[in-house]
Amino acid sequence: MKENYFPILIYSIVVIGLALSFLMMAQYFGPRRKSKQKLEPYECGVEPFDSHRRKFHVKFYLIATFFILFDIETVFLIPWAVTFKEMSMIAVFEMFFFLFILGIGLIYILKKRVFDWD
Amino acid sequence: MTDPVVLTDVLFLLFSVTAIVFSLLVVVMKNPIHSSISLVLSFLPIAAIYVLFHAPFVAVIQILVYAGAIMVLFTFVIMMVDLSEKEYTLHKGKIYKLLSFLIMGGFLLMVPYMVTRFLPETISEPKESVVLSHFTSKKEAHEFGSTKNIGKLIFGKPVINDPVQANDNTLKSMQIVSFELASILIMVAIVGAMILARTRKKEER
Amino acid sequence: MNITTLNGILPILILTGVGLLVLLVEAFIERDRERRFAFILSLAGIIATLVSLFSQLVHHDADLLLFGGALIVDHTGLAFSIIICLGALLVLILSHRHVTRIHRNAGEFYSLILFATLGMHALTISNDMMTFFVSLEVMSVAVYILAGVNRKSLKSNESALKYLILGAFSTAFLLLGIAFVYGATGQMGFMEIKEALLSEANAPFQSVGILGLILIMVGFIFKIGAFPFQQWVPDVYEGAPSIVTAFMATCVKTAAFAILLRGLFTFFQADESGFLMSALTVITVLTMIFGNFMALIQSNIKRLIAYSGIAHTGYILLAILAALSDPAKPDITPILFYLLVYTLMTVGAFAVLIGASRGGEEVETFEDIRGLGYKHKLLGLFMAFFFFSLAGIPSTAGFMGKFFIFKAAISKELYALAVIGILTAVVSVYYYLKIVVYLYLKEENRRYEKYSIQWNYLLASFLTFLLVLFLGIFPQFGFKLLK
Repeated sequence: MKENYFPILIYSIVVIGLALSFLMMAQYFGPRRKSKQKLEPYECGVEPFDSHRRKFHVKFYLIATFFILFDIETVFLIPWAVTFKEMSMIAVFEMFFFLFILGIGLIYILKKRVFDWD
Repeated sequence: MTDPVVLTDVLFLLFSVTAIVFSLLVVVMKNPIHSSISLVLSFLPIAAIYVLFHAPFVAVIQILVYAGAIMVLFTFVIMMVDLSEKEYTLHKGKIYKLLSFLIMGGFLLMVPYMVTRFLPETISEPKESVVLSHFTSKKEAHEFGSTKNIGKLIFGKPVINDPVQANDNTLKSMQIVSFELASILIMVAIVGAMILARTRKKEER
Repeated sequence: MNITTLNGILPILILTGVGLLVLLVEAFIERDRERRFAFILSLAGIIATLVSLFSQLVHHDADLLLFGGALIVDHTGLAFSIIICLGALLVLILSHRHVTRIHRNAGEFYSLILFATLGMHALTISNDMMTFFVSLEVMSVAVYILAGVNRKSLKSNESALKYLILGAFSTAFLLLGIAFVYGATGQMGFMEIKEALLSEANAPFQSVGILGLILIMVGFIFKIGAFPFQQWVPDVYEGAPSIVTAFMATCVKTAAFAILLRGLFTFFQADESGFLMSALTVITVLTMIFGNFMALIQSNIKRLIAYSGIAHTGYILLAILAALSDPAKPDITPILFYLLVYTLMTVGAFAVLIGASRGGEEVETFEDIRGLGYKHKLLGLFMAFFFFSLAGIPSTAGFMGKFFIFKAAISKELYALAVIGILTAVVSVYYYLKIVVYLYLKEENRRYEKYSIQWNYLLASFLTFLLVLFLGIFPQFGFKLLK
């Protein structure tokens, strides 16, 4: 088992090392000249006129929630997809039932127009 | 036989310490975004521990769902809740912190104590648990958490093969019921999200 | 998938189907027709479930193990499910006109109630750790959402948040306990766990298993709202909309007791040291005392009912202890009877409270019900009757319930517990009668309009039901057979 995961170790070391080295090179070799204007938040050249903390819309949260829920559905789909060929026919119908229930959920939220943006 | 065990131990120790450190950072950090990033970082060693326990599917799901979806949700919520700097700290008396330390500390100490209390002096397979001892072969045991086996666990007769009761399938429970109930649970969550978080548009009925 | 399996899971299928259908109705049909249609559908669904449950109970000859032991359809499970569905039915009837005041889309509310009932039914017939956990979560998540369904009310939001956070925390302990038990035994089914924990070969891991059982017990105690973990009950019951409180106080409690009972009679038997039993005894005593004494000082009726609900939990725990002293052939009739009576009384009390709250204001404090008995004779009469019954005044069903519990306790020689129970019950009479007194106080402060027929229907059925229960106790015994 160890043989399978050794490449992942090498890969992660390389990735982390590369990212860290880029950051450090930028830190140490790049010129650092601070001016007041560079430190202000960028707003197309004009003065920032509003607080940078704006109220977030709830619909992002709603989309993220639905993403999680359907991701969990995917979690159940993956083991089924790997094994259903060896099972009896009933396993297919069980999964269809599961998908049917969640399909009704999808129809419900589509009909409620939750994915329509203003 | 001893050498691979030592490597597993070292890796387990490494990953657990990392996970504990990052989860402590979650609680300790003042900035909530830093907190959520430490939470994501704590998921990585936990996924590695799952791989150590021969459960690669769970490890992948941990990263995909937990770090990939749930932390996104957390980040959205943190951005939505408009916190100013002075609201970060909790103004509770010191006595509550002390009490909570004592209680949770006691609980944390009790668990290893109870686990190790009755272990006999000589165990031939010290790292195997009761669960793994049910398997007929080592190879089967090491494949327990693989995707294929998890699929068989949910949709077929369970994988745990006791040779004596191999043909008696009324004793071994099938997880298909909890699987279908899980779909209802997801459904309830969908309805709940719609009820609780829906924005009211003017033209909606 | 043969016909017996299908018959066994028929309630689950009915509730799933109707729940989804109600949701689709709510999405596709426009407002007014939708509300009535959704209501009739959900009503039909619950009635169909009740019919199916009754027929299974009547034709029942042997315990049915489904899906390799994941579900067990036996007398206890069916009896508890019937009580739960009855409570859900009454809550549904009660909610018909009232729902649109707390939530615009009634169909979502009805579907949540149906899914919660589904979770509760699956909980009562579950025989396997996984099924138990997932159905517990279905029930809990649905009720968390229901507690917060009134988005305009800050108290409702607060109670839902509190319930969610504390509930999730207790679920975490429960899950840890399940993990420990699984690690110690390698089994998921309740029966197999018990055998595995008791077997000699498992001795090294037994302490881990016991630790797991303790943690699972923690989760249970939270759900039923018993002593160490009852802090959430008053806040959640007070903040949630009254209908949802009625649903929570009756059905959720019954379902939690159902699974607690099943757990106590299977895997908790593996605890040879008796630690869990003594812990349960202490919990019972403290619950009874705490619930009753805290209720004395409340001025908000919903909070008072919450604390008195904690006290009732204590009495039911007493009945469970009495049944446990004979694990081989447990007599759970007092438990079932009391839960049935408690469900009916509590829903009735909430029915009256909701019926009295017209004009958009909830009836909550003692001031609100002052003089209600004069303005609305019938409502006042029903309310008085329900609170008499809750108090356990002789010649009501509540009295018979308490009587059976104390009789069982005394017959199993739990004298100290029975005495404490009786004393605290006497204490409870005070705060229940205080409500009745307020009903008939002279000063009338509000004009009440005519209430709708729905509540009349509900209350009338209640009144007759309770009288019948008092008079005809014997049919009930045939109904609740031993496990």
